[in-house]
Amino acid sequence: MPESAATPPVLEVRDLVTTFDTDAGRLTAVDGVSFAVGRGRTLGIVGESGCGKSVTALSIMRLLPQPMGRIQGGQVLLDGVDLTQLSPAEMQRIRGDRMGMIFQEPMTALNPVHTIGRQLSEVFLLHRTRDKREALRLSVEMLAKVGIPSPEIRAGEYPHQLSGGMRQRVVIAMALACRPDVVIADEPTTALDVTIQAQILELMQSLQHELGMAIVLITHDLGVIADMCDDVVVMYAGRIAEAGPVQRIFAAPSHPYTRGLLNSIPRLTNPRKQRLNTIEGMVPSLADLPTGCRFQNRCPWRTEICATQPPLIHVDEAHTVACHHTKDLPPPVDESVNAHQARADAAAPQAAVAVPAAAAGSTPAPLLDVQDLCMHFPVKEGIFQRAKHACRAVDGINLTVMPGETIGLVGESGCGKSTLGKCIVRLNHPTAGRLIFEGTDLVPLRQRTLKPHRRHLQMIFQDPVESLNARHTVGDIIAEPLVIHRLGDAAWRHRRVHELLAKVGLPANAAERYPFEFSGGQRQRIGIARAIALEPKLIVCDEPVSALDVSIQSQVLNLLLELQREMGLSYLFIAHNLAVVKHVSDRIAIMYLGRIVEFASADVIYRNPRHPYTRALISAIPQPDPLHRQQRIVLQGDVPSPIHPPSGCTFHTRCPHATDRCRRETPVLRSAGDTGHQVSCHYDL
Amino acid sequence: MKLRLPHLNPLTRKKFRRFRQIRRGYVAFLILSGLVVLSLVAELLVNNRALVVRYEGQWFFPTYGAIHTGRDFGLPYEYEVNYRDLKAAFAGTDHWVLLPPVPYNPIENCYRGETFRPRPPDWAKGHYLGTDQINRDILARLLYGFRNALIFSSCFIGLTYLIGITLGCLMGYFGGWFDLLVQRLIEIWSNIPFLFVVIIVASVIPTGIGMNLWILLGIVVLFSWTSMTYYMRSATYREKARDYVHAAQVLGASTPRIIFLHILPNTLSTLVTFIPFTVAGAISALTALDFLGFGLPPPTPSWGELLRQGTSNLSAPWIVASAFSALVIVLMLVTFIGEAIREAFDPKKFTTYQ
Repeated sequence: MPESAATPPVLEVRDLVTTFDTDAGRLTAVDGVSFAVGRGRTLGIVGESGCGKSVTALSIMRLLPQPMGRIQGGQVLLDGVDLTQLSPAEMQRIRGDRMGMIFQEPMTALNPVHTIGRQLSEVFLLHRTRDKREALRLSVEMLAKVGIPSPEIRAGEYPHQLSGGMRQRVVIAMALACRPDVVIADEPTTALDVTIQAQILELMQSLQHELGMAIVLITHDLGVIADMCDDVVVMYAGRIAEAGPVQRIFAAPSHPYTRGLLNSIPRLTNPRKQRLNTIEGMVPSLADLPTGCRFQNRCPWRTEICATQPPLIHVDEAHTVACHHTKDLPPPVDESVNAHQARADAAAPQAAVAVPAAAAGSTPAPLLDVQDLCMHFPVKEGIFQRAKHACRAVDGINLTVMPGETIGLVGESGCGKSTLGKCIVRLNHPTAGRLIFEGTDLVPLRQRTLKPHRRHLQMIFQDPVESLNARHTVGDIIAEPLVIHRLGDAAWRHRRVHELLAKVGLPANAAERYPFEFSGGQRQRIGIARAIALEPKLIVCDEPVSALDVSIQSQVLNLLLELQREMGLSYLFIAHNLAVVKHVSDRIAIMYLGRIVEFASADVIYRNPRHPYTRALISAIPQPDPLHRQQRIVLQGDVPSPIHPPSGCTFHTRCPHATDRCRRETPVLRSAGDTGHQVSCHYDL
Repeated sequence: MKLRLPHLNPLTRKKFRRFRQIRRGYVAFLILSGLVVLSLVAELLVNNRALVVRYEGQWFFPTYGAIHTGRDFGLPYEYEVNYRDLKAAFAGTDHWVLLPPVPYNPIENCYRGETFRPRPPDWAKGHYLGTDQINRDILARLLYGFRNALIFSSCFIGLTYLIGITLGCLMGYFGGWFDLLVQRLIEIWSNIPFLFVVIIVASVIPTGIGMNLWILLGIVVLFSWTSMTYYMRSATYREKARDYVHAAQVLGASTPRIIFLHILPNTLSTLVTFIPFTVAGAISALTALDFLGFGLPPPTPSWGELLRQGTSNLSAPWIVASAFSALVIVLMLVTFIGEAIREAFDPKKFTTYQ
């Protein structure tokens, strides 16, 4: 922090300790955290869930839930004034005026019963002016500043009338209304799509440039950190693991946890289907912290000395790390530092073989052949509830899945990728088209006639909390498919459950326990065990890792790849994260507004994207590399509604290359360039 | 006091633990359980039949057995023996009689041959709360009336919940036309004035059958199950859209399996919190009907009937006082339990922000 050392920091946190009183006793969520941010600079706080990032933010704002949460010690200095000592009334004057906060979920951060203008005016009325008309004028000005088109009209609208990206702009406008000195952004783009995330990040950067506020950016996404931050604090289990300038952290990570995090994320540049490096285990619960270094139970370099609290060591002037072994760590070699690398190398060649076997032989019959599949939901209007329009969620999809192959399905929310997945497992009844699975068309089948096919066609869900029935034991959950399909007797099923638990890496005693006793990653393993219980041929994975932390995500991805190799599974892998999809897939389909706009093998689509949407998607992904802050193609606007899709090419409203022809003619999916590369665009870019 | 709760979901066990920690609710629960047990063995406590009779070297246990005539014990009559008289007759002999603590039956005239008038509490004779206007023991009527109210309310809960849950669940699960149709029917049905129907039914029932507990229960249930459907319908709608139901569908689970094994267990936990309030409602409804004279036929012991007597005989305050206190105490206990259950089952903890 050479620059910030020159100017005094605007926000400084010293030895902050925050505790929560719970049923399990007093838990220390933040334990001795210190950092400083200078004016006009951005500090990133990164870590997995449960590491105390959000509690740090809430402590700074003094917004801890009462009466459980309490700041036990330390100082939060805003321009030298200790916020922890202020009265609630004094704190209220500071919040919104000198400090602003941007929340993760823009829908819940805005009050649905007040108009945008009124909510924004409230900030001005509290801190700046008594005149309501003046407050409204300032609000409209602020809305214009955050890039909301026709702000006068928008000020009179309610939050639900705006899109997610627009709402987040409003939240930013509220946080910045009084030109605060410090803005705390708690996962500001996590709930948004990549192209919208790119818009929001760009907006935050340009506003910081203009207003000169300090930003504390809390995120789990290392790509966002690399893209946005000057300095980084890596938190682990309530303590700082490592802190320093962003280039130093990414180039020379000195804490095993930082290294683990950096190595476990799938990158677009990595070879596909390799075993990812992982951090074994998971973040310890706050009620059950190890003494000494909190990372010790997951650390490959652990020794006896780790049972004592590691001191904060200065690697260089601005770069500090809390690890006994910093000096002994091998120099960071790109992508290959982890102790598990040896295993990864051994596994890699097999992974590469498994796939092309299908492609190499005399084209075998596809496992699944989706033909012109449509799913139009009726939109009912009027007092008689007649179907007036159709929501074209899936609008003519053609797709084949070969045995043992993984098809990736990528798109932003609302593009119909989940609906397509649900149509394939027949949770939705497609309105048109055919779904030929092992030679049988599934579309006309009814519940009873479909049942034998369900054995071979399973699904893994996004949210492992939602998808497991909380009232059943894990054993019952995994045995349920066997019971439904009347396989074996009770004793056999009992053995099978234990087999499956071992296969997904869970202890045998898990069978008697209930889902809530497990962490997110373990619950997803339970969901996977249930899906493979019937030895299916095709599994539809609907965002299977997007609810998980980075280190857990790589564990689950490795498990999925391992199971594919062992059981010869085919996957239809649905996700919004292109890097994750590219890592596991053989071929990738990009969806936009219910249609496939580009379909090609995974390497080709990344190296040579032909559709402008694919290009924008790839460029919008923040890369976890601060040295390559690439020029983003920022798409303007939002995904249009599938009820009234645009004429011609549905992408023309956001396409930087759109012409008149795009507005009139609907492009068809045509072959382009490489073998099997299909693209739906009039032009060769 | 250690309650063993084996094979329960640990979350449910935690809820029970929390319930036990709420002192007021838990104590109310223990007291009410005690009262329920007392009412179940009411024949042993309040009865005009003796508990044990020792006569000519033989043991007799008349409480739950057949009728013994006076001649069985050497008295000169063919109708059922009066054990209080028997006790007096046996005095000074080898034979003896053990009477219950309150040796009166709820429907007998305790002062046979004397005028009908309420008599104040008389501890010597065992009328601890006095007698009503036709010389019946009030304590006996209270206890048996409580038992009737309990039978009524438990059957009431069973039936209303059975109908309400089934129909509400089906409405929520199938939705569409079925849901729309049943909802409209329920709206029409709930507009029929309940009291008039009771009056009409009471007047058309053939005298041979007469109004009894079961007919009354049937009528009340017919007009009460609808409220349960609203809750169940929306709860099922909510649960149906969750991924664990989709997961079961993908596995090929049948519709009954999804409804009974997946959706119902997830909605029932909230339903438990309604039960005490339904009990309170049922008890007050029965009392109100009896008070108005459309409830159970005389001489069935009931609190409403006792209240009515009390209000028309205000010069005999012990009648209204005992009926009223009994009602208040029981309703209060039930409400305390209800509050405690609701608090114990509440997933949200109290939180405020500065």
